[in-house]
Amino acid sequence: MADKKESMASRGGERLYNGIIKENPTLVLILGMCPTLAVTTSAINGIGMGLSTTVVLLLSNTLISMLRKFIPDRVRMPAYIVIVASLVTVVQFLLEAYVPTLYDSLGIYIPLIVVNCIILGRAEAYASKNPVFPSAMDGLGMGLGFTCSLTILGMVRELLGAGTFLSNGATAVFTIPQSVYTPANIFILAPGAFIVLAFIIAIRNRVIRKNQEKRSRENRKESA
Amino acid sequence: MKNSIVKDAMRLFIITLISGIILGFFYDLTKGPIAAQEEKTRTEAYQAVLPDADKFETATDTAYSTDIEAQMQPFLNEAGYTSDSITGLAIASTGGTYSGVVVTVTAHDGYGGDIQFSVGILPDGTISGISILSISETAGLGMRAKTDPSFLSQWTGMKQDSFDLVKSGGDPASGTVDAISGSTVTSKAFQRGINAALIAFRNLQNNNITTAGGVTIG
Repeated sequence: MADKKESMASRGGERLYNGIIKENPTLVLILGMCPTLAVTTSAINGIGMGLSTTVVLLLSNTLISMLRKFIPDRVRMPAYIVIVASLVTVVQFLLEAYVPTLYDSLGIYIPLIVVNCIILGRAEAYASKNPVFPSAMDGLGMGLGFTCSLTILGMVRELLGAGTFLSNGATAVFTIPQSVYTPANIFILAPGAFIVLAFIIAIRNRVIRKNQEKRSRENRKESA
Repeated sequence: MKNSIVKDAMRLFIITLISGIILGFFYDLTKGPIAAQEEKTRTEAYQAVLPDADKFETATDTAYSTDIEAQMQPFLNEAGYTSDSITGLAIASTGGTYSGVVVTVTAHDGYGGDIQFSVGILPDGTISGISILSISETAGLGMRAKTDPSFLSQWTGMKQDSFDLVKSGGDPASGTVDAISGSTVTSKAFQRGINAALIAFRNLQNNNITTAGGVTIG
C-alpha cells in the first residue's frame, strides 16, 4: 500500500516535470500557438490565459480519464469536445461573474480554449489511456507548462514593447522611463510574438542540451 | 453492428445531457452576479462621463423606446456617419432636473473591430467626458486612445457642433483635435463616433421628451 502510494506520487511528479520542462506544450510540442501568440502582449494576460487553460485542462483530463471506459471509441472526439466545451463555458460564466477585469482582458480568447489543441491533444494522447490521478497531474503539468511559457513570453514582450513590468493596463509594478528606453512597438505586435517565442525555444533547447551533455559525460566517466 | 451504433449514440446522448444540465445549473448560479456586474460597469461608465448626475434613466423609459439604433441611424447616415451606431441613450438628472445625456456609440470603423464608448453631454451641448466601454485596438498604437488620457480629454469641456481631426496643432475650442500619431484609423473612429453622438444628442433635444421618471428634456 505504501509502495503504491509512493509510486503514484512519483508518477504524478514525473507528469508535472514532463509537462513543464520535458514536453512543455508551447516550447517543445508547439501546441496551442493561436492563444500563445495572440494574448501574450502582457505578462498578466499570459498568466490569466495560462491559469484558465490549466483549470480546464486539469478538469478535462480528470473527467475524460474517469469516463475513458464509458466513452465509446468511435464517438470519442464529439464526446471530448462536448466535455471540454461545457467546462470552458462554466469557467467563462464564473470569470464573468466574479473576476470581471480578467474576463474583460481575455475577452474572446476564453471560448478559444475549447479548440486549444493542447486540451484535445492531452485528452487523446494521455487521459483516454491512463488512470485518473496521473491524468490529472498530466493536465496540471501541461497547464502549468503552458502558463510558464505564456508568462515569460508576455513579460519579455511587455518589457520590450511597452516598457512596463506586470502592468494591468492602468498601473504597472514599474515602468521604464521613456528617457532610458523607448519601447519598440513591434514586440507588442504579432511579429514580435514570433521573434520572442523563437528565442525562448532556442534558449530552452540550449539549456536542455547542455544538461544532457553534462550528464552523459558524467555517465561515461563513471563507467570508465 | 446496429446495436453498437445505438449504444454509442446512447452514451454520447447521456454525456451531452449531463453536460447540458451542469451548464444550466452554472448559468442559473451566475446569472445574477453577471447582470449585477454589467449594471455596475454601465453605471460607472455613465458616472465617469457625467459626474454630477445622480440618476440615469435608460432610453427604454422615453419615447425612444422601440429601437434606438434604428431610429437614430437615418440621422447619422444623412450626415455621412454610416459606420457608427447609437447603441444606448441614457437621460441623466440631478435631483429630478434634467442634467444631460449619455450617448453610447458603437464605431464600426476601428482598426481592430468595433469600439464602444459613452459620451456625456450637458444640456447646453458641452461634452463633459468620454469613457470607453470596449476596445480591441492594437496595443501600443490604437490602444493609446485608452491608455493615454490626453487623447480623449481633448473633447472634455468643449462645445462644438462637430469636431475635425488634424495631425497636430489642433485647437479643440475651435473644433479641431489632434490624432494619435501612428493611429489615424482609431483616431478617426473616435472623432466620427463623437460627432455621431452629438447628432443623436441634438436630435433628442429637439423632441421635447418626458421620461418615465418625470424628467423633461429641452
